[in-house]
Amino acid sequence: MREENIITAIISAVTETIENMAFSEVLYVGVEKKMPPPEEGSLGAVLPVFSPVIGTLSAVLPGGLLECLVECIYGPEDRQDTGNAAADTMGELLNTIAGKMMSYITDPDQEFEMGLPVIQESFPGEEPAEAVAYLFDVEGHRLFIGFSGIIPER
Amino acid sequence: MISGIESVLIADDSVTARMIIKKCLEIAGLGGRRFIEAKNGLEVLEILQKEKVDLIVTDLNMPVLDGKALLERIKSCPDFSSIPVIVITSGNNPAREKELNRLGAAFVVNKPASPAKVVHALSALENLKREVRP
Repeated sequence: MREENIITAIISAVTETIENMAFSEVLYVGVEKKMPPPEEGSLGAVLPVFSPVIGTLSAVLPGGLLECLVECIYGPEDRQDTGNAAADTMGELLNTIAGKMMSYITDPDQEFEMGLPVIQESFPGEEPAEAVAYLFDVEGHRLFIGFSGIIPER
Repeated sequence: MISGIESVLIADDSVTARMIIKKCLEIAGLGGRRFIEAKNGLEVLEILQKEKVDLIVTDLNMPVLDGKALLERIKSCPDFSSIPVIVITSGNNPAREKELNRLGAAFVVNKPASPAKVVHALSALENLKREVRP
């Protein structure tokens, strides 16, 4: 498996997930060497993947984008019932992106394993800072998806 | 649309995912049914002890007791094994789908759920019921 496979899988997973969940247009902008420091109001999440790729997928969404996505998914009425809609949406978004990414990089007859998303308001740990960050534009907002880990050859 | 379903149990650790699934089920023809929600597989098993459930729609990747373990527990219990289970997962591939069907899943839906995907799953479920009925 090569790094190009991961990039292609991440782009497809992010695009399909956000377009289908939030009906928002996604444009892939490019690769950054590191995950950015979170802006004011940003929310982040990390999710470990165990097999066949071992690593961490992370996401940083600025507050404005998160507001926009929550509004798209919940609508104004249902949102009133959920106290923590932004964090929950963030986790579900990363979980769906990770699952799609893993299904794209595995063979049809190969199982894969991943963990659960953990929400973070900042990234003090080393792992996400070492990640390669893939930058997307969602309705004028910047979305960063990071990946750090070991890509096994096959 | 599908007959004989009065109550649906939706299991997902994300309230956002549960809300999306519920809306999809309503659009797919199950509006007005009783919807019960659970955050993990263990909660599903506890609810099944107390409530009558006609359909279970579960996520795979959940804390405490995940969807795969839940499916195994449901299908190995004579009291619950006849309840159809639709699995909704973000990470589906042929190997996983085959394994879930072997464990007793009636249908596997890829996340994010959409009304069209849920209609397809419910139609497949109805066909399955017709095949079982003479």
